[in-house]
Amino acid sequence: MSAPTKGSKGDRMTWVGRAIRRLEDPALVTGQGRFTADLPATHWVRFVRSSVASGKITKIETPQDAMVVTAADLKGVKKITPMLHKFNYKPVGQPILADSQVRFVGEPVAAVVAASEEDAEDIAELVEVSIEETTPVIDARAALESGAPQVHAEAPGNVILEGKFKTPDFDAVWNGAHKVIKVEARSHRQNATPMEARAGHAAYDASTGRVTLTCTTQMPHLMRTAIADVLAFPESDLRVIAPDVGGGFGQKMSLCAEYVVLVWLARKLKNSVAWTEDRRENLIAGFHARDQYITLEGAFDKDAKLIALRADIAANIGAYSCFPTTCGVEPLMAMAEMPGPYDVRQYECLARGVITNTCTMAPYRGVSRPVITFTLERLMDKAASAFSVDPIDIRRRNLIDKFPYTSAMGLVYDEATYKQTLEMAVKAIDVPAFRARQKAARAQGRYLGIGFATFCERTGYGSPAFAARGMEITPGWETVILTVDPSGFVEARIGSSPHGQGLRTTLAQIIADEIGVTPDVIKVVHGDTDRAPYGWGTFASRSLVISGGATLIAAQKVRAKLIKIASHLLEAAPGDIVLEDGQAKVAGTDRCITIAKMARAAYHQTHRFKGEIEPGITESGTYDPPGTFSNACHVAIVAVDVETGRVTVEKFLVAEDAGKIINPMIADGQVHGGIAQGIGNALLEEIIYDDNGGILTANLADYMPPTAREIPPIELHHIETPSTTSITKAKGLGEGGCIGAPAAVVNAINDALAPFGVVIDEIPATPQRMRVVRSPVAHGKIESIDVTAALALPGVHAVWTHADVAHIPRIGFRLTRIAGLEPYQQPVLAHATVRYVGEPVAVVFADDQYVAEDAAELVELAIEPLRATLLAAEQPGFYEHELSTEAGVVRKGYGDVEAAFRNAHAIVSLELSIGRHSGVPLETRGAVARYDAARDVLEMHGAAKVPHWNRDQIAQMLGRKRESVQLFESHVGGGFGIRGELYPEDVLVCAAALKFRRPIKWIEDRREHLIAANHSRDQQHKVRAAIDSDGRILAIDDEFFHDNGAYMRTHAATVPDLAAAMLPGPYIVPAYRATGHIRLTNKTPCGTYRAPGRYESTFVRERLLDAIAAKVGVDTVEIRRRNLIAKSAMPYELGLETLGTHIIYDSGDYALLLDKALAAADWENLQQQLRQRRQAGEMVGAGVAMFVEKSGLGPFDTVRVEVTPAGTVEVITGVASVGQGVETVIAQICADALGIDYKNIRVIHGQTDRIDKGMGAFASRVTVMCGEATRLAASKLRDKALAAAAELMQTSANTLDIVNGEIIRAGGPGPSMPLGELARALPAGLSAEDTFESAHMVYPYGVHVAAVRVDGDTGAVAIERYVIAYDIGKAVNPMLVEGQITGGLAQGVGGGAAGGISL
Amino acid sequence: MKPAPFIRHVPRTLDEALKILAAVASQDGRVLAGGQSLVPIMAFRLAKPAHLVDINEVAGLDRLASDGKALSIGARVRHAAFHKSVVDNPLGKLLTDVARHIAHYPIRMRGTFCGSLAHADPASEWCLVAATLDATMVAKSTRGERLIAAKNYFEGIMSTALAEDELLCEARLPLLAADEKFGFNEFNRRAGDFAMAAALVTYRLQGGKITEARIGVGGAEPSPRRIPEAEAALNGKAPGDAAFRAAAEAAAKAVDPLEDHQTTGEYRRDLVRAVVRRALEHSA
Repeated sequence: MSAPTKGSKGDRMTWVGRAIRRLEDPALVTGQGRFTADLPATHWVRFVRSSVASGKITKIETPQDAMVVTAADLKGVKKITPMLHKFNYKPVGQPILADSQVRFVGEPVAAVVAASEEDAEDIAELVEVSIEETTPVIDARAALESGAPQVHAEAPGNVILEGKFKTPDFDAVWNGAHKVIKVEARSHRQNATPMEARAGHAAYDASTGRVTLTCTTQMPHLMRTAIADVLAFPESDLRVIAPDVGGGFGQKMSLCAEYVVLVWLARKLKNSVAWTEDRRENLIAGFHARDQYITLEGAFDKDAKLIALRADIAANIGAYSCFPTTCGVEPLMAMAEMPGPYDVRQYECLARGVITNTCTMAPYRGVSRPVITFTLERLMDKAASAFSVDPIDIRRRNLIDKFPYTSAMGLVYDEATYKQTLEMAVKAIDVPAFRARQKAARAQGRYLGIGFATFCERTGYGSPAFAARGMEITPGWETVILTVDPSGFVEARIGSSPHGQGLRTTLAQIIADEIGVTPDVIKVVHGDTDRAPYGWGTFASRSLVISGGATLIAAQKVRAKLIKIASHLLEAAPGDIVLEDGQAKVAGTDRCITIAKMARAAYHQTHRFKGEIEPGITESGTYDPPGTFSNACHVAIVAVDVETGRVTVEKFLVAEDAGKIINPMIADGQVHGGIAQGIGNALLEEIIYDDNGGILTANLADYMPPTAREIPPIELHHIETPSTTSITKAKGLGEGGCIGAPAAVVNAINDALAPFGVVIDEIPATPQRMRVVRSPVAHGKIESIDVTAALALPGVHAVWTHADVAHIPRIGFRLTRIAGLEPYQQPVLAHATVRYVGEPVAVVFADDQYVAEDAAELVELAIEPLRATLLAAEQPGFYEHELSTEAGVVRKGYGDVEAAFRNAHAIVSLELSIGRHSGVPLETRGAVARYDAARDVLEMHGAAKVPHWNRDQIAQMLGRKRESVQLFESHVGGGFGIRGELYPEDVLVCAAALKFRRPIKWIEDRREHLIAANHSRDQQHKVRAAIDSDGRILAIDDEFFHDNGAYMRTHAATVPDLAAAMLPGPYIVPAYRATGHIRLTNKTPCGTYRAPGRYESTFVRERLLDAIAAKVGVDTVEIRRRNLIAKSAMPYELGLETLGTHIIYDSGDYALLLDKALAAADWENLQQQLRQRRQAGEMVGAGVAMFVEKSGLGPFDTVRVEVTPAGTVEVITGVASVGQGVETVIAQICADALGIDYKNIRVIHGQTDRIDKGMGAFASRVTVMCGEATRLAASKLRDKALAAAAELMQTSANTLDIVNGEIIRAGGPGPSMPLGELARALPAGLSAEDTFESAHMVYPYGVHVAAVRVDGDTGAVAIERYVIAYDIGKAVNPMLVEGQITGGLAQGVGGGAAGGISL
Repeated sequence: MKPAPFIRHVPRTLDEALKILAAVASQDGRVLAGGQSLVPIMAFRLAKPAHLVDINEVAGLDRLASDGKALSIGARVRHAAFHKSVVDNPLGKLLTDVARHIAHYPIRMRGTFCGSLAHADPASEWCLVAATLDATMVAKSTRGERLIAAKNYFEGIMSTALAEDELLCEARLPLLAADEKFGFNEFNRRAGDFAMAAALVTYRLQGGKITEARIGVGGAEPSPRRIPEAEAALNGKAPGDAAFRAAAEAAAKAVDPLEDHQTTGEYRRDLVRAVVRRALEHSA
């Protein structure tokens, strides 16, 4: 287009770029604005809304003579059913009034029509809606669980859409990452809360049959199209007017069913009908937004450069899909724009829209980007921390700086200033000065923080961008019709529909520059489908770019026409015409003509143009741009009151680039308003549902938008990079304030609370969510320990703190192929920092335990509390900053899991949580240590079941030779894993015995035991199975979090390792992947507990099997039969290893054992009984669990068998006995091997001075390993005895035998020799030692069947029946075996030989 | 959001008001003063009184005067009356300090002191003042006049000892000693919101030691009250960080905190600790 603008505008000041006052304000600020609710009406409507989140309407009773409309009246009215043609979208329809089914609290069920609002409300109270309630599902994650209530039959699994994206090289790049950083972000639900709630007024015009709907909408044309469609009448019979609209923020761009009812009523009553929503209705039933879970992982190279990004987005979309954007608006926006302003070439994303029984979601200022920016910016801050670089620096390394840039998703970013705005903000806020202030404040107990958010905001996008989402209705273009009327005034009719943005002013500025008039003579007409051209409305920061572009095109056309007219009338060349001051002038002369005169001529004297110029001055422009990205850096400075959790935003600074700024004052106002909403989103605003789907925040005291008092001074800086993809060079900025603020504020909170280790990845960040845990002190800095009072007590001889034992190294832990966790070993007394409640800090030595306890109370500890992360597993622990993410991860697997999931018939997912347990042996911990100076031997009597291991550890820690430490295991009252540990207390007792040269004794009390002895379990699993159509498992993918507590103790890594290795169990799992994250938290450290790993994995696997059964519709037994490993496949190599050994199931007939168990349980009969009882209203059920146990853990056991001079036999083992009956079993084995009565055999264990090496009693290994070593040693002894006896008796050894402890001649009477006599006769005595080594384990297996009854009133569960079938190979002592199994059952597991619990 | 139908009575004298109240009390009649609490709950239809006895035209109820021992606050005295000190006594300053925490400016222009006491919201600042200072409530009905001590007056969340036909005509706050120290602190999430915990403290000093300590806590329990354990922890101590922390700790231990969907009892207990200590710091 030829635009002779240069000469005509000259160098004079343009209107564009000036902060002129808004033309719309005089009316608004003097009370002359006209809003929907101002209109009088004959009839008023009150909606009766569902008070129930999910249920079936059984009856609606209405008062007599009242006019009440229900779904039954709306025959022929269609449902609102927006459509999306991609992403596996499931169209669901929303009835205008609920028909039979209600799906959220607040859903309109009936419309009451009365003469006034008051009457309507009175009558509405009398309408009785009977609803048969069904269980609702409120939370997106809950809705995704298998077995969750289905909100719509059309959308199985409550997934309404599923977007997936992955760049081809993603996996390769991901696997090469140096570090992976993860954020699990949660944004709670919010309401846009415009000042004016919704309102509609429909009036029927009898003369034309038309209805005029006046309503508070952002898109009048779309309302008209949609309502005419739903009610099936011609669009021309409906006029929609959006008068002054008191804010929308997206909430008013979707079609609400209430407006459809109004139009229907106006047509039916042939009159006017009005409805004004109240605030409660708006908060429960206006549209909601933001409710998302995002898991975002960033792979970084060694230079902290982001190389790959993986996102899992679950957006709660409420009960229905909104029109016209569909519910894809949030999840798909999140998917498309997740990478934000950062240069990352590899991207994988899963974005799901999840239906729940909650209010329908619609766009809200920023649409998803406040959430994704928050998530991404948290990731950047966490990565900065993990790489020990500054948060600003990590952004510098990653921001895009070459344009145009095509993102991994294919979006094209136009010229922008990501780095420049960051640097501008950094400079303006003066980071070094802030850090100094922050340091000084911290010293005074005040916590300040600074947070950055850099982001880009896609604005002004046209139809191609929307089409990419597959929307059936594709917004994009805008049209502007610009007229100079005969009086010379200018009127722009626009399709956009501003509602507070100041478009009347900014568009007038654009027009004024083109046609040389002042903005005040220009009227901008909008919001009336009769007057304004078809258009999309105002949303998505689009109007100034698109409508502004269309305005410019139309104005350029008008300008050209005016020049043409002037050149005719002034008889001058067009190139000489200048338009200014409302006139056309001939440059360099005094000849001119006013635009008013030209307009008269154009309409009333067209003959003067001799047919060369068309009559009138009306031109139209249409614009459909590709879209442009504005960008900004937001900085928040906050103060956190750590006592109350109050966050005060002290300062907010913005450096923004929105291209050419048309009106700086309006631009600043948009940013200010957005930031105010963003701060509200970050700190205050939250729609809270109760479990039944009722809303607890239905007024503005409970739902808390910020007030002016919560908003700090905002400092704005602009860079203007003219957009090359927008003809006005302007970019949109309406949403930016809201997009960056939550991220900046929450990053600042995290910075402020860094000294406490607080991590909060949730908005709003309420005081409750981040409050500092103070007491008891789980995590704190030891400021001082005052022992004077304790020492002064008579009978106290010493009190030790860390300084006294600083030379003792930390307690070691055994690595189970997980490197990098060594730094998290435990000091014997806390040094500088305490990390769990119960951690030993000081130790008192006194004459007796009473004095010791009194003295301990007098030790004064001053501990400054730090933030404890007790609250949730999703909050990484205090160590987060030190812990490399990869170091704490257990990975196991085989096969192509991804392919299996891609090809699966169905996928079953479960989230399971296993609580924290204590082993609770009958006897608590304790130790007695004594130093024998004569022999220079330290002796400790303890209740340990790994005596040799502990002996070696103690010797090493105290710097002594192995031989000079001896450990004696006494009788031990149960262990269950608790005793497989060397505890700080044991070491302290030994160290004190050495130091004070006197016996030292410590006995733990029960409270100490429960808080300070090893804990266990505490895992959360997210497990998925890919299955074929018969329910056969194709693959299992398990991700779990193992909450290890504060330190890595001896076997800390064993539990997650076994949990990962034993998950496939007795089933064929062709592909498998386990990812176990070991987390360090401020809780008691964990260790092993009976059946570590198998307990957890069996629970997860067996729950999964039942879920698969439910999915494919077969019973719990059949699903197991289909998946069990067949006997013919034995031995079965699993393809996994654990504890250093390959897992090879040695033998077994799993199916046979299952049959045996079922037969024993009389399964068919049991099922029938249960069915009958269920029909009678009882809550009863039965379940089956199967498992493979591992036992016989090597690597060796050594046993010496000795014949004493008295003739008894001693078996000296390296194991311990904690109640399993080791003495009996070993004696039985030895008796058989040696040919003597087991009663004459004494088994000695747990005495390191009697045998130099041994392993201990754990992991169901004693019978297998020690038993075999005993057999070998006994056989050797037998051979040795026979050989020696043969020599003495001068005969051949093979003629001798041992019977009843005597050596006799085989096959006949003759002289015999008791073994004791033989031993006495031999100078070296009679003994033999042998070692059994094994790199393999054996795999017993079992089936548990349980039947339970749940008391519906109390929730109490009674186990009515329990049947166990097992195959542990040869049972050495059946009585002991059964004792082990039933004891294990009481603990919730089949411990010694089992790991299964029936469910 | 329109209230259910009701009849509004506008008496001009106290006698007339009490007679109407006596007549309508049993038919769900309520007194309307400033209406800043009652009208919103009527709009939500949480309250649907059939009769409102509007006392805004009743002569004499706007009395606000001191007799040298106590300050009498009539039923029509608005919150805003306390924007400036109303009595030449530390009590005047105390009330001014507290008043600015009450909701927002427009609400303070209309709402009344006695109305707050009659409504008995657990978070009400004036209820806390009445409980801490041992105010006396003057209740009148056609049956006569009754004086109710603060400790007998508050009976729980929005529940008082007033009978349904009784009008709270006046509240009497004892004046403070000339050298009496006081401090107030409250916590809420937005300016003007209901307090999630609030504390008012007063005490005197004798030889550098605290005596006659009063520590009142509001917003944390169903009714505001004095916390004897905290007062005991304070009396006899020199004012300062150690004494204030001990008193705050005692208060936190003594309360039985309310819980709601945003606030656990544990958190509210922590807030009590913070507001008591801060009120004491404010006093020093």
